Amino acid sequence: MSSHPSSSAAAAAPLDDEDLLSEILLRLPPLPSSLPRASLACKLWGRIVSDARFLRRFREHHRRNPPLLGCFVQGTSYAGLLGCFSFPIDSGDTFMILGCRHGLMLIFLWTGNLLLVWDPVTGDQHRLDIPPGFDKEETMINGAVLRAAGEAHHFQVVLVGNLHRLWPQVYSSETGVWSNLVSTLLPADDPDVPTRVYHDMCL
Amino acid sequence: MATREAGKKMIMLKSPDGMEFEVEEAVAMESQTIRKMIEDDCADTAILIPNINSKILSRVIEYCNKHVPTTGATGAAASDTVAPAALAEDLKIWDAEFIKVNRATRFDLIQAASYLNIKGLLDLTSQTTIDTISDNSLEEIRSFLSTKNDYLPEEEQTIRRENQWAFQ
Repeated sequence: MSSHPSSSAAAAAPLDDEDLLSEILLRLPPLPSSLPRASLACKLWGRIVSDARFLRRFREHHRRNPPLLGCFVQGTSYAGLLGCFSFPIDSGDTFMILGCRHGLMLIFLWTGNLLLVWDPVTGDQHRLDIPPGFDKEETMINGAVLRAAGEAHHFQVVLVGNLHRLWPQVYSSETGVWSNLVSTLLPADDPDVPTRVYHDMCL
Repeated sequence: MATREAGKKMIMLKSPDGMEFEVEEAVAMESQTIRKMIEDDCADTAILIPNINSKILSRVIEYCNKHVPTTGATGAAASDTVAPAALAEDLKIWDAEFIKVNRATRFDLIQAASYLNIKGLLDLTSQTTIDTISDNSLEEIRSFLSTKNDYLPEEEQTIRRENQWAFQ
């Protein structure tokens, strides 16, 4: 090798070129541990495999065998995520994961009385005020997030509280406002009935 | 532009070290970069391929020759007579032999495939590189890819702690 210094320099080149290195790393197997392990090789690798554009391409490249990029865990004493994402919540904050659908996550931030809609792949975050009428101390809140297929990045949040009366509210990111759906009385003998949000828009 | 028997259009590719390769236009157009040059009428006589030496360029042409969709005398696709599965299997075996090269050559091929925009060759060379390292330890990967670990020990510890499950 010492007699051909130029050939060894050329050999290292693709791995110094971020674009080519991304091309190679895209072919990592679609296992949850692939990207965290690769991120440990060096800072450049770490930066590439946590980049939103790379994650989108990684998912696209393995679309026939979609990769599990990470998973979320919420227990009584621990909540967090496993994978290559930066969790957007301070460890001291109290929160509750309300739902996860269409690549978006809906999180109730108890501390600030806010809702967080988070796209783990792009890192996009939207914080919404809880609409009036939801008293976090007394209401059992449940909710869901959904968005239509296609390029539009608009989403909807459905929030349901059940303090004696069901108050489903729908937020549209397109209009930026909450609107009422209907309200209905809960059975008088079971005021704490848990609510669930169902819809027929996600296939 | 030169032509050869059967009216096949030929095109000249030149490497920076002065070698010339006459190839069928259809073969050269396996490269999307060259295809665009030809379609934009920027390829009158010969195309200089910068940064790809003759040794690598000849291997790239060899790959494109094998992978160009072949047509028979009547213009019917060869796959009409040969079962597509058998053809694919044949290509797979051929690819496996083709990529048995040393690391430096493989990296040169990755660069060439990227510059010339030949998806199949980029897939083959990159996937082979990943397959080579996937089962190895981090230290072996760093050594194989000449990558220097530039994390501070505490930074590395933090990443390991945050993703402990991935390193078990």
